Amino acid sequence: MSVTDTSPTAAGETSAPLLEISNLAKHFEMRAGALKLTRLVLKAVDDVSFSLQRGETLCLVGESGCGKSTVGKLILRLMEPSAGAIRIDGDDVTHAGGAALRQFRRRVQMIFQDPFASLNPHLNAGTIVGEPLENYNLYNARERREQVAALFARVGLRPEAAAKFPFEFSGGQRQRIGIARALALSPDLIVADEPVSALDVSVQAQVLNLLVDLRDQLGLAYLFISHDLGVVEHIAHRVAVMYLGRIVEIGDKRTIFSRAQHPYTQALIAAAPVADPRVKRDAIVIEGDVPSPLDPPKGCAFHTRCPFAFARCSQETPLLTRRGDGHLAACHLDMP
Amino acid sequence: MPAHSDAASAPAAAWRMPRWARHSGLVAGGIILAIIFLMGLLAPVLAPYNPYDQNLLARIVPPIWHETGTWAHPLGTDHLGRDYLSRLLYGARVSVFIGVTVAFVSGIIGTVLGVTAGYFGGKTDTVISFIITARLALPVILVALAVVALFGSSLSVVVGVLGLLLWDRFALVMRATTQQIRDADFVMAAKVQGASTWQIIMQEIMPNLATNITVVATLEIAQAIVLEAALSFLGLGVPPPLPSWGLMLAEGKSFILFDPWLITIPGMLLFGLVLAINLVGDGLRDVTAPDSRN
Repeated sequence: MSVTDTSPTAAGETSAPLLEISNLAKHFEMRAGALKLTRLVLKAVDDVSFSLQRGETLCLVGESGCGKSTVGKLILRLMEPSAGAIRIDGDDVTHAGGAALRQFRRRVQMIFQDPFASLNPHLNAGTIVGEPLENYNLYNARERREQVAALFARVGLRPEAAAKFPFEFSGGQRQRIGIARALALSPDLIVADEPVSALDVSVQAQVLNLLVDLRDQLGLAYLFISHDLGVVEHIAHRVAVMYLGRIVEIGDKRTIFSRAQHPYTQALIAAAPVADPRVKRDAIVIEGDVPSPLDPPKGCAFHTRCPFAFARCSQETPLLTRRGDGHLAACHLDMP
Repeated sequence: MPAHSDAASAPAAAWRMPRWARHSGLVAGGIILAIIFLMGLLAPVLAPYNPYDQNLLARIVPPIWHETGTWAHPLGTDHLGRDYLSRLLYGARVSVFIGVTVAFVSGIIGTVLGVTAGYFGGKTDTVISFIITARLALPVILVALAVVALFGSSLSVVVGVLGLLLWDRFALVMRATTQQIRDADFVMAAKVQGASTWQIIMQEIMPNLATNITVVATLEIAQAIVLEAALSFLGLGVPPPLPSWGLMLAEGKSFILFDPWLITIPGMLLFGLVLAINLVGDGLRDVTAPDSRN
């Protein structure tokens, strides 16, 4: 992928983007067969490139298993990429280790999907939120308590809650604790992996609004991983759509939601539920299941399910090409 | 218990007295255990005689509930005329000491090996799993007999041998539990927050193992006590004249037909101690499990 997209919200053309990933890939090698002689390569993430500016929210959408969480983990350096590069403010951190990795970790934090599994049940909320500060030996014990209290206030929890244990909180409150923990080191970027999908709908909106407020107050950038397009529409500046480990379309939110070029994006948007039974849909309906990532179709990976597929689609893998300002799509169809 | 809507918000609330006091097994086991501990602790004060003093004129005096029993020896005397009550009181010390030290030694070995194997996985796991399997292939009693035969029997040899042999359950349980916790989101969160491997193990993994360690430790304490008794019974445990309950059983076995209380009294105490330890272990597991705290 040679084309690098530029963000429409870029503050200045000269400044390096906060996060830039280029040609990122993660391949898992597997062995099959009775004697484990057949080698299979699972391309969980293949040739993914995008950049993210300060204060910007990029949503990564796609069906489960399309590699969007893996992209998040690669960026967080929880997994080693097979290829490609991750740069933060122009610094290559792809293979950073030791002190460099520790410094990198202060800048990139994570919010988890499951508010129950992501908090250690044996630690109280104050300890959980204060842990990052302790890891970096920031502040003394008293200052740390004050910091934790400030973080609790910031995410809408009472400071007294610091003494409680995770089981004493509701799902939404737990997610707020997880957000407070992610904010403790004042990161520039937060990778949020489906942060609201485990919550009740009423609580979803509250947590989502909190994330938006924090972004506006603190200038945070989010890499927001989600499969819920309603949520995406609410929070995204830009949207990247993934299918079988590759980005098939990326662009700013309005473009993606109104002028999607890739049939897969169109189908995803059409499939999102609308809270109005009278709305008639002339949607593209895609059939069948996602092909096995162990044996992806030749050519365009989507051609097996695409209603517009033609001969070329099964032979040639489409590259991301420019469809407008900061809008890229990987499809052989040249739609207006 | 009345509802404390307010108190429930305090962290100390999870450890409030009624919470464990309501667990009848824990309370019963705790009381028996406390009595046996006190027996051992206060043996010098409580014991009416020196447990080593022989009195060949008063051999095999029956306990007080027999027609011929006397208050001079409430639980009678053994075949050498030693006061049985005094020996039982001092014997509690030996049994408890062996149980606790063996569990401590094996707990450290097993936990270090198990957590290391579980957390790091891969080749480390293969090597440690091999060591565990090798250990499981050794029959404890046979190895203990061989070592005692080589080095002679003493309290420290018994503790050393059992401590170096009984860590397998610790290792297996810790390895399996660590493998589960290692992949938990909160461990990933700690990594993202820059925690070192040591910090992750101590702060994130160990607190979640504490319950399992306690439960395994109680099992091992009980097993060590029983094994010591078995070794002593075979004449290869603690050397006489040390008043161990197992040794008392061994010494009483020739009189089982006509003076069965020589066996039944230390036997009942051993049974009560092991039962109490197991009750306490189960109770602690129930009470400290985080999901049942509320």
